[in-house]
Amino acid sequence: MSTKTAISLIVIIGSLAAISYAIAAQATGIIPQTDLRNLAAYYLQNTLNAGNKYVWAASPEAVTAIVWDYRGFDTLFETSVFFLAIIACIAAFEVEMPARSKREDNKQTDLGLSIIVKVVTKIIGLIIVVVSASIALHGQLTPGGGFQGGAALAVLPILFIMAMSRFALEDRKVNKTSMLILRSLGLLGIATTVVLPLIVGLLTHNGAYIMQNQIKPDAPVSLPSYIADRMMGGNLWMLNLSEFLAVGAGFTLTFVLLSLPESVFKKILENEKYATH
Amino acid sequence: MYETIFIDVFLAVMSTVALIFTYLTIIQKDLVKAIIYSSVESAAYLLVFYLLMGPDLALAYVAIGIGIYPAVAFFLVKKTERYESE
Amino acid sequence: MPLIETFLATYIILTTIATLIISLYGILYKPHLIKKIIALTIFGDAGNIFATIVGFRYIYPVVPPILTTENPTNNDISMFLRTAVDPVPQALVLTAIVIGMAVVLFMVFLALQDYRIYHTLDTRKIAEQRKRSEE
Repeated sequence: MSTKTAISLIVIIGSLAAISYAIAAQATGIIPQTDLRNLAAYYLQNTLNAGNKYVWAASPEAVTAIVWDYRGFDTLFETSVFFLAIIACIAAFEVEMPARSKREDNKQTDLGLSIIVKVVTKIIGLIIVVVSASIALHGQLTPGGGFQGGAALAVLPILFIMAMSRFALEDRKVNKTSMLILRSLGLLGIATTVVLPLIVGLLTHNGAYIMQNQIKPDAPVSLPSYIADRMMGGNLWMLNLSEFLAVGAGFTLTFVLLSLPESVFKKILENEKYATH
Repeated sequence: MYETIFIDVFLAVMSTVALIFTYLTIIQKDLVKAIIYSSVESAAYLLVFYLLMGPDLALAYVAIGIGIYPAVAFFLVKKTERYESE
Repeated sequence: MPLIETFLATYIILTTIATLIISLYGILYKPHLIKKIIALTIFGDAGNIFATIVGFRYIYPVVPPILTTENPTNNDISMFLRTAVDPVPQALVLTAIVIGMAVVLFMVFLALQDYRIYHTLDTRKIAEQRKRSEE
């Protein structure tokens, strides 16, 4: 190796080794701890404490309450970062979808894997949809939530593209436009749930905050924490459902774009000039 | 008393498995095998997340580390080249 | 026996940091673009494990931060506070996983576009082609 490579390697590994020695020798507080930190004690105490209804989050799961209620704005901006990434992907692959070539319909069964795999994939597809919706909808009671459900739903288009061809998705009207519509619906759901307490507060002449879940000392607007005797957690279930739609549709969009054949892009690139050719 | 040691030994074994597979991933020249090694490392880290008492993270990581990352990487390898040169 | 427990805790932290170092070497010193992307996913993953280790509690019995009763009494809550793990790093790691995923998705699309223009994914050859075209 040259001298420059050796010096840079030594600098990187040396700095990381110094950090590891400092942490293992307990410089940033003893890791792992045996006591609870003050902030964690505050969140765990108040997440389902009916004695203090000004700071509770109406859900027995502390992680979902922190993600969507106590630190809701972090999640809002992280959703917008994901949205920007999907928009950038669509802009990079801006192409009109190729028309389906004229073939007879009885050639459809030649594409993809054998018929046993196709039937089993269709059964498993139904199971995937049900399980991922279940994970997303009970996020305020047990481990789960919007992201987990959306990521589990995103396995479905991969299976369909692999077992049958990509025309299986196109025939069921799963293309760029419809997935963009679904994703926009999910983001609209999040925006509505965020602004809803403010609108209700303005209409009834009370004070209210944006993205407010339960009653606060000077803002008596609250979303219902029990619906028909089931614990719903205020706006947590609405946000989980919208996030599930948005994430699932975003991933499906990405796979639809990735499965386009290369001949489409070769034709576009031949008509443009680049610096290397 | 022995329960804590059992959990710690299991955690240590899973971390070592992840370290070995990370090293194998970086060394490997065939990209398909590298992707499969990285998904085994994701599975080991999934067990570590579960033992560190974080079930939300384990649920998120099943779908992402074993489903989405290898699928996207396989799409990319199929459309470009498979072997790393030199 | 606190000695074995301290040794195992230090060992787990050191293996995580070793994974960080190896994946960082993979990002910086391997010239193929797909290998860089794979190493980036491993790097983010090891960082998330490290953040979750910071929130762990070294006691027994230890419980995830989820209440199991619907109307907890004060006794339930104080028992919960004595045995539950820190939930704040887990919430932050959830955000970090989603952002890492968005970045890797975009990088895969950009790598595909690179291949279509330069017909190779080796960064040294891409540098040669660009230098040759600027002369």
